[in-house]
Amino acid sequence: MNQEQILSILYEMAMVMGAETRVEPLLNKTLQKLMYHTGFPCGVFISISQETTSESLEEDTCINVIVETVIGNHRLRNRIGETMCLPKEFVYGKAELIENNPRIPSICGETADYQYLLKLPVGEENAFLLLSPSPPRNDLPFTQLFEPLLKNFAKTLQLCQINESYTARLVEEREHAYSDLRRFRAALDTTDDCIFIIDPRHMKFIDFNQSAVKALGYRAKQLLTMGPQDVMDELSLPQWRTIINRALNDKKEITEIITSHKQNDGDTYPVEVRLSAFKKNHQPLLIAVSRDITIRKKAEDELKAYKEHLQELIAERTRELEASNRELESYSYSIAHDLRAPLRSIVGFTQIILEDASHKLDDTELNYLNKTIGAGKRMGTLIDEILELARLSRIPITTQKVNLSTLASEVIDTLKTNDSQRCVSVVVESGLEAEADPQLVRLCIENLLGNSWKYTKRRPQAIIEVGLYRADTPNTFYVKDNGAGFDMQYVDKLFLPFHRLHNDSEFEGTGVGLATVQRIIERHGGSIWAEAEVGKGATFYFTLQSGPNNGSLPNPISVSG
Amino acid sequence: MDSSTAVYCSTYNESELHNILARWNADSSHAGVLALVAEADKNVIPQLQNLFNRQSTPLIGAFFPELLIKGQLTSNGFTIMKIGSSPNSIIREHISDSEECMDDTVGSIAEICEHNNSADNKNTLVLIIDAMVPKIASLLEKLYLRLGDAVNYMGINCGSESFKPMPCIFDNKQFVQDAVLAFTIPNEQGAILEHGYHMPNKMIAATSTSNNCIVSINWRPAFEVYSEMVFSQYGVKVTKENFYENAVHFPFGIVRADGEVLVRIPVSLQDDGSLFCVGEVPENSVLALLKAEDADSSTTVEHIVKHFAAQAPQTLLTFYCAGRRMHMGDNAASELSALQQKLNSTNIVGALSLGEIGSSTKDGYPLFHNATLVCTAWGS
Repeated sequence: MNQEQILSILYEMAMVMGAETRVEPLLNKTLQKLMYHTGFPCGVFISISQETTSESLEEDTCINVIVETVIGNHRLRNRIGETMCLPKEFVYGKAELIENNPRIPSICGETADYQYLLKLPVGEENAFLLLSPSPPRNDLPFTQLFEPLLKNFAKTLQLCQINESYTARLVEEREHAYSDLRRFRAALDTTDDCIFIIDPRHMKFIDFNQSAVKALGYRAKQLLTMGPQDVMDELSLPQWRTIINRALNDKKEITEIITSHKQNDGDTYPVEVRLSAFKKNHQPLLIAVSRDITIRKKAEDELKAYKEHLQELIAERTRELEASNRELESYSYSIAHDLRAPLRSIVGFTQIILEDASHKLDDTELNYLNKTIGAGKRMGTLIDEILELARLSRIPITTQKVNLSTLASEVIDTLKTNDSQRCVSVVVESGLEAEADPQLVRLCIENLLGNSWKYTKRRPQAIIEVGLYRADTPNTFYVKDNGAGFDMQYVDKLFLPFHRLHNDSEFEGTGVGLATVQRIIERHGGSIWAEAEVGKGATFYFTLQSGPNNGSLPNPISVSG
Repeated sequence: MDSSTAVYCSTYNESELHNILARWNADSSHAGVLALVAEADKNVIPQLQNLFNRQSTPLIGAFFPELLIKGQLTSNGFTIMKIGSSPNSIIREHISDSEECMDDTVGSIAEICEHNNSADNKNTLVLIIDAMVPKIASLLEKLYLRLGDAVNYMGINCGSESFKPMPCIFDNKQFVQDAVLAFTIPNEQGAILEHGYHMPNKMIAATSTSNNCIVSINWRPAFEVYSEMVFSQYGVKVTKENFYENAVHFPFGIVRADGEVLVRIPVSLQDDGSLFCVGEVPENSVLALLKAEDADSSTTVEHIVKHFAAQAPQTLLTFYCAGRRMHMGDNAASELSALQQKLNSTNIVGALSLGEIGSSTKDGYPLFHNATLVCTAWGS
């Protein structure tokens, strides 16, 4: 063959080999081409085996090979993958034609009558072996053609092996990813929520889960021709475009809307739709998760109706309680009022007896009568205070600016006048002002200062302070003394009518004063609380108008209610 | 003619045929028949089917441009050839429609071969293929991958030399086109094929091909290059009108490393300037423009005679390429006469074929050729 013919065949073979990317077709096509070009009817591709057998060990001239592929001999085809022992000269060395070797026929078994072996080694590890019963009709161009061809094949084989290994890894990774995707898809199909992928350019669904198909009653093919504006048609197409544009622009946010699903049969049900944007191959898409809120909506409606009903019930109950309170107050007032006349008679007639018949009575009897008069008077005072407390609940309030400093000083002056023996140090902060009913607030101050005066009577250095509490509470006033104080565990009983924390023998009183103070404070929309320590004194804080900071005082003790 | 295995009938004579079949059936109760029909008398095929059906005798066959009788060509009549036992045959249509069709066909043909094979006797697989079927070489490659040396291979293309699609293959019930007829015959020797062309020095590359069509040569339109080469080398102007008459004298040879060539006769010029050949031309094949005088007639005959000389058969089924006949002209008759003379005791029967399958050596690698003689022993 001339150079042009050889180059032409090399070109053809290079094109055949270069077209393959996998090992098996590369082997088959190359082997078939070699058989075509040589006319040899049988071709084998072998690789050197690393295993040794007794046969290969016994014969130093032999080597084990693995039969990788076979064309043309149906018996040898059955041995693909098997190991066979061949003379080394059949495998190693240069490309050459071997003939008259008794081992040649045995390669394919006893029935084959191959006499000619064309050895074409591929690197150090592989070889093509072509077998024929007849010699080639012409000389074969070993050096010029087969050697470069086999070198080229060795490189191509290596590339195909690398490619297959790389492809196998890619396939495995892809299978892994598909498996994850299938699981994810199954999870999506299992959820009750309808999930849609929306193409915002065409306003069409491009994917959805099984729940969407089931819930809406459309066939999957139909749904692929539809968009959100078709199955959630409470919102028009322009409205949907606006919503979707917003969702696309709010890249990190989830847009939520409440609308309804329209099913294929025309029925609707309420849904909450959460939209979020993502990109696939640089194309912006939206995922819409649509949740059936029929049950939630029903519960909300029921709760709303219940709340409305509850408010009505509360208002009605309040009205009933107010009426009942009014009746009770009226009844209390009547009872108290009615008790005053017989009480006056008891006290009056007892005094008459004491005045007219005292000479007839012994000391014990006189003592009884004096006690009766004293008790009657105390009862009278009590009835008066009850009547006053009742009155306070009913009289209208007329507020104006009241100077509490002046008011407190006047009350102190009166107390000092009535009890001139006492030595009390009184400090009244000047300029204390409040919007209040002057008469009621005077009563309130009289009670508080009266208590301080009373409970400091055993102090040789009694101190009473009136001032503005200056923490974070600009409208909170206080009355403080260093008197008997009280145990804070009973503080919740402090403002209850007729409840007293001290004995009459220690400090006289009716137990109505602080209840009266609280009633006045509450009627001004304020609140009152106290801090005290037994033997060290007490401080009463109060506000006259409810303010935002009333509840944030240090350790406030609410007495309201 | 040796009437025990093959009978030529110039006309359809039912009583004569009846007698032949009766005699063959008496010798072998399940005898089947291969019929080779001359294209000019293809109308006889339905009559043959009718008769053989009435006789309950298996029939397979095809028509060819001409018949070969006792080493001479004739354009009329038909030859019936006795197959010793009921032929193991199959007809498959549309084999080239898809890879699946071809794989199915290969599977079906392999089954009849494997079913009929025995450890002691090797059969010959005979393939008769409509010449209009593309990818015949691919079919053969796939068959060889599957069967290997389990059978010997012989094949020919049948149909019209006009290369127009038409039904050309038949059995008792079918008369079809775009099909392959496959059957096995007991035959140890296999077939031998020869063309006598030698490889020229100048090479060209089929840079673009599509099955049987050469689209470009050396990256230029195929016809442009082909006509330039024929004109510059031989002074012959090939045109669309005289294409087949001239192209048979200047076939392509696909070059092989062993110095042999695989002949491809371009039989028609397509509208797009590509050249349609009988048989595939693989892409990037190295081609040579064969010279008319390259076909060495005496070497061809000698090679065949040498193959059969040791054990000359009674009947030699011989197919002679129609393109070769056109190229050789009167020499074709001389070549066939020479073959008949050298195998004097052998009855040479067969037909003009439009493509041949075989190997130039016994048990060699089978290939699809043009412009060859292919021969196999027929009968015991």
